[in-house]
Amino acid sequence: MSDPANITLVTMDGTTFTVPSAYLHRSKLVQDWLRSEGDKQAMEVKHVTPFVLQGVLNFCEIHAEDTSEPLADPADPTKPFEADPRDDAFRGMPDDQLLQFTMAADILQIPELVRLTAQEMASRIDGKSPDQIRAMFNPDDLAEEDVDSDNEMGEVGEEGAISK
Amino acid sequence: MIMAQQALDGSDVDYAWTMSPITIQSLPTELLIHVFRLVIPPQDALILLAQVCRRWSYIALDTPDLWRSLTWSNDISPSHTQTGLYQLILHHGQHLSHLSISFTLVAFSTGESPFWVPLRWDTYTWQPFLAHLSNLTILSLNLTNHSRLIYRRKLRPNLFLHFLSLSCPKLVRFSFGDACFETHFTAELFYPDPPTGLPCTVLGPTLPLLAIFLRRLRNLTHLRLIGCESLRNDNTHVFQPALLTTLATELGPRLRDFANYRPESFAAHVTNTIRLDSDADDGGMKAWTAFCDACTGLERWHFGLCESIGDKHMKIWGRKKKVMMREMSLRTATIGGDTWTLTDRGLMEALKACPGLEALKIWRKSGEVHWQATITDRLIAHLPLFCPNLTTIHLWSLTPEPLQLSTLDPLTHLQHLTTLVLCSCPSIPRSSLPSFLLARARHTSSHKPFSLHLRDTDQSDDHRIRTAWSLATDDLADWRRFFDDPRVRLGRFDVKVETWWGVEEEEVVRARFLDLEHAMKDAYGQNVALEVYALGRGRYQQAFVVGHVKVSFWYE
Repeated sequence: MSDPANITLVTMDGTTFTVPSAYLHRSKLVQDWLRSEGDKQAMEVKHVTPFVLQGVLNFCEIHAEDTSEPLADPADPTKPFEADPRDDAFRGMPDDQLLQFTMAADILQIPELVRLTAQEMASRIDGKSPDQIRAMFNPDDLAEEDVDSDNEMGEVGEEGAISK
Repeated sequence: MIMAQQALDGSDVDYAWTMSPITIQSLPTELLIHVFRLVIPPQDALILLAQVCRRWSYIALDTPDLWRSLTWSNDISPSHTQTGLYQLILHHGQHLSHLSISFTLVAFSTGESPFWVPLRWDTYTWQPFLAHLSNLTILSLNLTNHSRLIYRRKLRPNLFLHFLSLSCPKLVRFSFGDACFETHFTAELFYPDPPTGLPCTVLGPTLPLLAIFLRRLRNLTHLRLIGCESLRNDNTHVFQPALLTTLATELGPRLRDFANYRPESFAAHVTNTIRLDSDADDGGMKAWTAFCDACTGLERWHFGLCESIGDKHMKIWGRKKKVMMREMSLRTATIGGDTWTLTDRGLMEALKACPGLEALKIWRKSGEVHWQATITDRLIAHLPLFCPNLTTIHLWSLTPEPLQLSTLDPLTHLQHLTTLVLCSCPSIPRSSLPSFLLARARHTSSHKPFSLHLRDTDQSDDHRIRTAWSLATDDLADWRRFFDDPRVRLGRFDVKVETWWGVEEEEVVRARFLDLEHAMKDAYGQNVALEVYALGRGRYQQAFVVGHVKVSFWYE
């Protein structure tokens, strides 16, 4: 049985990280796992790379002693987002890394990190044209049929209305 | 820093090759919806996001949750037209919970028509709009520059409210400027009871009809009947006291927010008020009493005061506690009645009933009002006793009489106070301001700075830039002690001197303040954001000068 004070996480390529369980008290996935399968040696986080998991765990370490109420829902409009200078590293990362962290935050169900990365993505999208957004987020991934070349989906018309 | 213990091959992790091919298309739909929701302004961004790819289009346009709120204003974007609004409402109207529409009429550039009216502002255009808004809970409707709108394009109040109350039964908040309507939505239109007993459908909303509309809107808790900006001089509108009876009867304790003027803007020229003495029977006392006794659930009260409201009325207001009250804004307007009888005693009676009050804002604007006895040292001394939770105080006077305040010391007992805005307080010694600010110091932090905004009085030359002069010359040592305190962290230190040159040449007016500029720069260097500017006014008008000082700081 694993040490209850620590938890070991295994990434997609088998890299392991052992951290105090308390670091991950905001991760709903980890908390559920500890309750149901906490007697196992390690928890697999299959879709997360070591690089990203390390970043996520650093975020968790930084915020381990935060006394704020855990966010039940990252989209809760009643709790406005406030930038924390301790998270500047996340705001400065390249677009592709930001995507990976957003995904990892979602997989590990850490609402505070989901909110941080989603807010950063939104601010990068803000004010950009569709072409610029495509260029930002891996345009190769968009299959030809995905790109709306004939304006079928919606277009800002002459008067700014959606043409559909 | 957390590090990996081991990799499969036992070597250090090569982050480059471990980057997985996650792309934007890999993100779950719920996550993309969350990101889309955070982009501002939402509706314009969603229209653009819909053009990125087919999947984003489906998410942006077909996710009801993203279309709960719509703000449509041609001040925000010229593409916000009637056609665009109509299409959005047809497509998303059933999901909309919040709708804010604001239009400023603008000149038409091609000269085909005197003015371009972006929205057909008539009732029958609105009927199909409203029919799609069955889940609407918040509606804000406003029109500025309304004098340019031709009469037949204005809304017919009774008909509009009839459609609204039938189509949008879930409405909780309703705010509209009176210029939207065929005739101004003001007192003279609130006929208490037409002698014939028949509703008046021509002139505007009658009180019997308003009562019916309010009865239909069972969830309504916030009602704002606000005046629109106007450049006219006769800028006061008067509601009949029977409006208060209607509010008491139909809304009563569920009324959370009532405003009869636009509270957001100091610049709004129109103040709607309720003229109690227009009721011949009992001087409006019965209606006022019904309102004060029934509407005990008020949280925000933005109320236009006129001479008809005096100490006796405030005493009635204070008879029943308003424990929910958080913000009280009082704005005076002279309507040509008797002399003011509201004094600091009346105001204290009103405040005594609001122990949870967090924001008190008093705005005196009329040039004819003699209301100088209302805001006094005695009133300020009682604030910490009556309203200990105050965070914001605005005392603003543009009347010929300055506020009769000589000290701010009692306010040091308000532990939560973070914002103090004062205008026309020449009797407060400027040398006492630095010590007042330092007395606030222990209640501040980087998350909770204290802000002081002083606008000097414009009643006499001596007073017009008194605070600015004290910073530069008279009380320099006191201020320097404050600014030089190593624990003081300045968030903002702005000094602005506005001058309007009229009969005097601009250069003459500017030259007068050169000494001030030099002294300020010498004393505070880069710490101060100093702005001295001059604007022209009528060639035969006297020069006009007024100074502003804004300081925001916290203490470490």
